[in-house]
Amino acid sequence: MSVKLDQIGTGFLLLIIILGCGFPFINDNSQDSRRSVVITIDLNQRQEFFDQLSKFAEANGFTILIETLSSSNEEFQIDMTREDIIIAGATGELDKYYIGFYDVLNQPPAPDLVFDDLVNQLERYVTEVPGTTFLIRK
Amino acid sequence: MNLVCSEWLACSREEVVDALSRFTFPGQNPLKPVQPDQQSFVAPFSWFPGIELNGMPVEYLGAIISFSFDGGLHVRNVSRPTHIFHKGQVDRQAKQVGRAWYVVTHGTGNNIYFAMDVVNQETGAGIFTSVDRMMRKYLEAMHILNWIKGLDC
Repeated sequence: MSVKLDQIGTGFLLLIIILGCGFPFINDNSQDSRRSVVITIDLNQRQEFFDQLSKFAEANGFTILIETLSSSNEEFQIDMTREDIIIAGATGELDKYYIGFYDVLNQPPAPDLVFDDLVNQLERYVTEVPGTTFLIRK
Repeated sequence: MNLVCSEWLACSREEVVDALSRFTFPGQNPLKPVQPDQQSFVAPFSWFPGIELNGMPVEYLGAIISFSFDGGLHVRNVSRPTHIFHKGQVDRQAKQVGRAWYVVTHGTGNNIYFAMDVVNQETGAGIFTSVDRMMRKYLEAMHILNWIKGLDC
């Protein structure tokens, strides 16, 4: 019985430590995406997909950077920035791009309508590439 | 490869996915599981919200995007181009062996977490071993809590 009580006590203690003060450098400084999409491409159409992303960026005043991930020359990350909004993401599986839309820190949040419009435009641009699917997660 | 759930606990896939989302990167608050495409700002830059450097918020010097795939069993942390040590990446994958669960952490590129002393090694970084240890304690604590809840008092 004493063993069970010890286990219960240890469990509670662990819970308090973990959920309370267990992390000496807890980092609460994070930012949820305002919108989140997953784009699946046909790997044979990758360059066309990147071309469409660049067209979308240019049409909406974003500076775009597309580069390989450090883990592989076949996986990429995308970063688009403008004064009020950031669009950033990377590949998970080879053919899937996980992309989030964010407000720029220290700037007033952009209205939902602006994000909705950007998501719709991005969908229009990239689905012009054959074999592309566009999933809105958020 | 670090053990995060022992055979005797027989954690479910859902429990491990949930725990991995709470222990995705060092310093994460476990009360806040990583949301889809969450952007985080790692220490020490996260300590200076609202301060700008050459017109850019200082936090962006430690900006990382985290997202999960493979049903939540694989989380990926990727530095943004504004990160002071871009580019770098840390992948964490949960794997089941028998009824036990392990997490494999693999870092590539530059060291994007400041306490992460070794990259390009499988679980070489002590800081992620600590994260895995916390994840294991969390899963054990949750099981004990559920066991207590199930007691008929």
